Amino acid sequence: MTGRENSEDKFEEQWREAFDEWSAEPPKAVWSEIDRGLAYNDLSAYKAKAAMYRWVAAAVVLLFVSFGTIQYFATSDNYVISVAATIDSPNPLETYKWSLNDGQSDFRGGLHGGGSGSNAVIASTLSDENTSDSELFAQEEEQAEKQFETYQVASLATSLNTETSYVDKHLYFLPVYQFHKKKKTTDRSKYWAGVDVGSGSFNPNYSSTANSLNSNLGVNPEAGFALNSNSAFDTESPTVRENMSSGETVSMGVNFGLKLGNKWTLETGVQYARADAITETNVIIKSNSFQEVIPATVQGKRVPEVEQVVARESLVEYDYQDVNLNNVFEFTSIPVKAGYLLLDKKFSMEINAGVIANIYMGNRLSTEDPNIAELTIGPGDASPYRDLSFSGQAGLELGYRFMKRLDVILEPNYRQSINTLTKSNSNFITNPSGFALTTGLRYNFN
Amino acid sequence: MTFSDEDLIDACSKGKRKAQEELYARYSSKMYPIALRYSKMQQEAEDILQEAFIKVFKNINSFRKDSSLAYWIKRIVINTALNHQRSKLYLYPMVDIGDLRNHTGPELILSNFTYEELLAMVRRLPTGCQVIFNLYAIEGYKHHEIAKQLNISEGTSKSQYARAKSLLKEWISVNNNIDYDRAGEF
Repeated sequence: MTGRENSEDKFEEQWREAFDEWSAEPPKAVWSEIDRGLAYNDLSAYKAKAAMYRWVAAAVVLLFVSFGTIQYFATSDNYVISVAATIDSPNPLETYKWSLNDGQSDFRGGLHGGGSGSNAVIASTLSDENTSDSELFAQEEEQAEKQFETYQVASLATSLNTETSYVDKHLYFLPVYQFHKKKKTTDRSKYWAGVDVGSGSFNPNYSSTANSLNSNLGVNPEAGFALNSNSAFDTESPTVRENMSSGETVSMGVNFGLKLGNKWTLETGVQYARADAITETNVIIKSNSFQEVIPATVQGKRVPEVEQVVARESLVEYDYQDVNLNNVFEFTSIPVKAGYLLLDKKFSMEINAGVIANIYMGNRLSTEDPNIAELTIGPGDASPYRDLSFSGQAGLELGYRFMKRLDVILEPNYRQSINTLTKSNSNFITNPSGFALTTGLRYNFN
Repeated sequence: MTFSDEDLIDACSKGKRKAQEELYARYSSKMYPIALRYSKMQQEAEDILQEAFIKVFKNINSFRKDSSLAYWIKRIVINTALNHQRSKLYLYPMVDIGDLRNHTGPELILSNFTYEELLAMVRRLPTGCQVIFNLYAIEGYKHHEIAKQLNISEGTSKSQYARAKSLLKEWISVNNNIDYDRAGEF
């Protein structure tokens, strides 16, 4: 509207002036139609919000179920590092104390030098007097602190705090699904980040070359072995039948990815993974130093505290008892995987494969029986487990874009260890594998 | 109580229906004739007006106050009308442009006609001529702007307009019982 080309011609000016001043009221029905159109737009907006709330609710439920699963497996309130043996302590999971006379300096030295005790808090008080073990158990704690060297192993409590926020919003439930409009599908963005939780099976694929108390725990007493306290001792080591059976795994983490070209993707992230398994053994060891009995498992062989406590016994007293120990392995995992997009629309499908670096954080063996000592196998030189192991993963990732930038992801996958979880000099081998189902939310940046 | 345009815009951007109704009441009577000029029938004009105002309310957040609200709404009405007519437009050069340059005559007297009569003449034009006449004569676009907007050649725009002008003059002269060609000879 920048003016006309022939200003000399008044034809156009007359027409413009004639219509410039003209106004006419449209029929009332026009506003009614506009009002209806606007109402429809509002309903569509509310419906989109309702759809978003549905997905958010589903995601929240999913997260709570996942956290609930983790909490379910975390049956103990406290996490004990390195040593789990209790003497004269009313709560074996809170504080562990035992006393030794000065003649047992080797043991004391062993405790101080324990490689897996890096997370333990140890306080010691030296005493000048020598006291026998039988006296030790007869004295009160206060007296013992004066006369004996006292070790205290404090427990480190782990807690998982989840906070939820609730925003009071009205939800509009609208019977307008027949007006649902299909949104234009959009391709996957170039960069994305997300959170995921997963659950699945954990098969340790366990095998052991140790089948005796001697080989399982490295017990080599001077006098020999005694079945119960009243039995005669024997120099032959009792046979130990040990196995580790399958359990479950849960994981949670964050992931980041980018698209390489039209079909290929590369994804990495950080995950906390926890795997459960059951160790079955048929022998327990009794020690004068411990109130609890020690389960004969090859995993405890190189734990310095257990090793030295057992080794100092001249006559190892054992008994046959079937014990099921709950293993709780913990890892920090860093997956790196490449994917190929089979479908890249509102609904996406991708096959992927990659390598996961598993950083071993520890394994806790416990039972519900308070008379059986709890063992924690940490990382480090003394541990039978590698600090870093690798596994391969292959999966099918299904995605659905339910908001402009948000995808919900569901991925069934299979994992198989590439190298053994155990060190080459360990007396047992585990090659974990298992199926898992991972789900999560993904935010697309562009 | 009357609201300023700014107040109405703010309220409309929040989806306040009363404000939307107020804005519609304020500007619809000026926009309805525009829709009528670009359409052949009243129902079509009502559809254009309805669709245009829904666009106005939907996009009012994008209104930049560097122009008047009336001008912004008018542009939306015109664009909506053009979208309605676009499928009907078969624009091609109708006459030799050179023959039209001296197509002048004595001054027309439009004041003898009512709005309704003038509108009837405009709507009687072929669709292509009607659109280009509205854009050039009433809205004030240049031919190269019209050509770009309708994706036609500038020559087509000029020839269509010349045809529209010729027809309108003919109808006006008949109604005025004046032979402008003859008058030009006097």
